Amino acid sequence: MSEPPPENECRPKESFDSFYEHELLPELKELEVERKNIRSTLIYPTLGLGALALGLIAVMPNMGIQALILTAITGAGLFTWFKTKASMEFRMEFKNRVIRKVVSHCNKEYRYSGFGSINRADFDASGIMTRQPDRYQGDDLVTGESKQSKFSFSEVYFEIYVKDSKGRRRLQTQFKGLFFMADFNKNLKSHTVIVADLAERFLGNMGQQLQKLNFSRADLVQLENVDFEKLYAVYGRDQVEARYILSPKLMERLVNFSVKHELTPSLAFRGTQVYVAIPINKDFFEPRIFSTIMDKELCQEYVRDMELALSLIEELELDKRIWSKAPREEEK
Amino acid sequence: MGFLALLLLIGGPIFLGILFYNNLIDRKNRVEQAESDIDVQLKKRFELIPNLVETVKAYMKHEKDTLVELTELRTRYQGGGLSMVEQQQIAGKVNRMGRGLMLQVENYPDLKANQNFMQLQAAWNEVEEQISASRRTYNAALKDYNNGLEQFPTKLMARSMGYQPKEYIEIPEEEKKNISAKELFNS
Repeated sequence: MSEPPPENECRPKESFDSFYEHELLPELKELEVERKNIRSTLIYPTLGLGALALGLIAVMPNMGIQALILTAITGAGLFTWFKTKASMEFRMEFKNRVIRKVVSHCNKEYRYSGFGSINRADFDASGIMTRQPDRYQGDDLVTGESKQSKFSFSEVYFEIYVKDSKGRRRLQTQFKGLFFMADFNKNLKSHTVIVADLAERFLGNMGQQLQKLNFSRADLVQLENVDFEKLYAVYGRDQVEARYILSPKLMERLVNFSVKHELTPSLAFRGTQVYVAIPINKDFFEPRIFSTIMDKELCQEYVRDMELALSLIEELELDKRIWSKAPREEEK
Repeated sequence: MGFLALLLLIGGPIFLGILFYNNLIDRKNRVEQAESDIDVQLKKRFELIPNLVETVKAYMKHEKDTLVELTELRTRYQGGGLSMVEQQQIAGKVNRMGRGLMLQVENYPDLKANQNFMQLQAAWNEVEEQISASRRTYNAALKDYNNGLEQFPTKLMARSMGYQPKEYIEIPEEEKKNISAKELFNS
């Protein structure tokens, strides 16, 4: 007898083909026409910019390498501006028509907002980052509830100003990826943060000693799972509560999650919530402009991204309510 | 210059001595704190026993002996004067008996559906995990403390302070595996 699929996984793979053929493809066909128009629109400013650059080089053959670089950067900036402006409406339509269906394919009750995101206040409350962002953005907000737990996730960009060696201020990305938050299944009083442990990974025991000196975080909580300790550093004011959250089983699950997806998320547990920040260097749920969007593999990737986020419900056992924290229905 | 060197020569060892001394005291206090945290959680579980007995006795007629023994163990624990080892022995026994009772519930559908029992079961599960977390915290604090007793130079100071190494608490195998909802509710 085959095992039933996990509760939080999108509908079985076999149904994807039919979903793609009947629901996505008609939308994609229409949007493909629009995409081609945008691509044509972008070709003229691109050619114009190229001609301008060549003209500049012809007029000033002796301009130095710095001027060349400056011209290239300006050109790239202008191109991005054109691309964003021309594709904004298309992106909005794509997200509303295609991604919304992908989200519904996973669960009809889930809600999607292409340009919504997790609130900055919620991101800050997690305490995963030790400082405030100078620029905070996000998109692709998905909200829903599984059996017992309300959850939401979106793509998030967290940037701060840094000064380079010449004293110039520029924005630097501190976090880019998926940010997930949900009702946690245990009662919590304190605040526990779990972050990727780079010090121990590279410096071993010496790294562990250095972690103790991390004044921007609470006390270091050293746990007994060696594999977990190699991947993560845990900080919290309440040592017992940190271990109450990080049961041996949860530690094992987090190690397996990291190995399976080759990702090391940061987690925070505070009040009634769990927060998970998964750094991923890609744009979620975005359409292509310069190649076809009528691509089944591309759409499957959107589903896989959804499944990655939804798998956290399972990994964190958020539906397991065997402790005294009441299920939401009873809390009302 | 000479004065500064003299100051460092005398002040340095004194400063380090104070540092090591305070560090050892901190380690010892953390073990004691963890020990008292376990006690708090164990007491919490013992406080659940009268309510548990009261709720299940009407249903589980065949488990009367278990219920009596649970009450006796509670009285023994609350009587005090027990060593850490004795406390853990009693706690282990209560843990096993509690788990056994929870599993027996499958044979009593009326009890399983009883709201009061369901709340008790959730509270019992929670306190069990809290006990497990407290024990793990104790062992972590103890590792730090015992290291201080074996490492140089704190070893010399610990000896003169009369500190003795302590035994780790053995974490029961079922706690290492953690509570399984499936096992408990057989759903």
